[in-house]
Amino acid sequence: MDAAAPSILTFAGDLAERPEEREIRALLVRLASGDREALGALYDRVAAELHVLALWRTGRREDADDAVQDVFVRLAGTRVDLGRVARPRAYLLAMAHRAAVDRLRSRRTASVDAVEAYLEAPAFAPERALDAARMSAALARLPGKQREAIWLRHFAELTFREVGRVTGVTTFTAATRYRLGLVRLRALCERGR
Amino acid sequence: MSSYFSGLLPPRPAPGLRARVLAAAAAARPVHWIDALWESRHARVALALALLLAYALNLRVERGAAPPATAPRVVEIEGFSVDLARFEPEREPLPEEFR
Repeated sequence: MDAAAPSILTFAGDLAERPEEREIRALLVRLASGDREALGALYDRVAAELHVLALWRTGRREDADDAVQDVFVRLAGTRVDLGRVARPRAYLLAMAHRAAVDRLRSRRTASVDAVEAYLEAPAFAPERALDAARMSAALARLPGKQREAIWLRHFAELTFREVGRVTGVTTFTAATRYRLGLVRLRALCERGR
Repeated sequence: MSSYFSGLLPPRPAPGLRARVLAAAAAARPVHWIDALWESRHARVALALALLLAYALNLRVERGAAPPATAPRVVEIEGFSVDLARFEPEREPLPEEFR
């Protein structure tokens, strides 16, 4: 029960709905009406984001895979009226966050053996591969909570308020995690030069 | 800080994950209503309040309850045995000499 779905009212009252939110909502409405085919389209739309969030939180690709699977299994069996979710994207990110935390709790050892590739060079710029490896090594030395906050704020472009709601902490704590993470990351990068 | 990240992308999930996830989701059964209820924060708060209320009511009942069963049922009063269970002063008034 730990990977419980967040309250459907959790994200009510935030800013106006963005276009990508509308697309996700439409898929959730289809899913809620019993259209299992919507799961595939929803996967194509959001799985990459959910996977990265879980990867940056857990530090392990296997755990991220399992977390994404947990989210979709839960979506397929939920009794929540998904069409009423106020902020669908943040709702799904919150589910992924909780699934990732569950994976971390169930993991026997806290240490991570290998450094995961948290960032990769795009296919058209292979010369950035070394930069990506350096950044991944630096990110691997951050606590998962700070890494997660950085991803949600910088890459997913959520507000601190949304970051807090996705991760179940106050806005202040979310902002603090982000800033502490950046300070430490900057120090690690400066030291590595 | 954005210069550190610029041009770099987060990794994408492995291509095989899609089939695995969708197969698992297709086999998923609806969540049992008990689990669904437990997932609700409001339901958990309501349960906690109900337990608290039951505890408070129980305390109130205990305060006004009859004496424990270990109390003597028959007592000796000035040489007479009085059965407290059957003693009904209104129906069986004490004899004159004891009034």
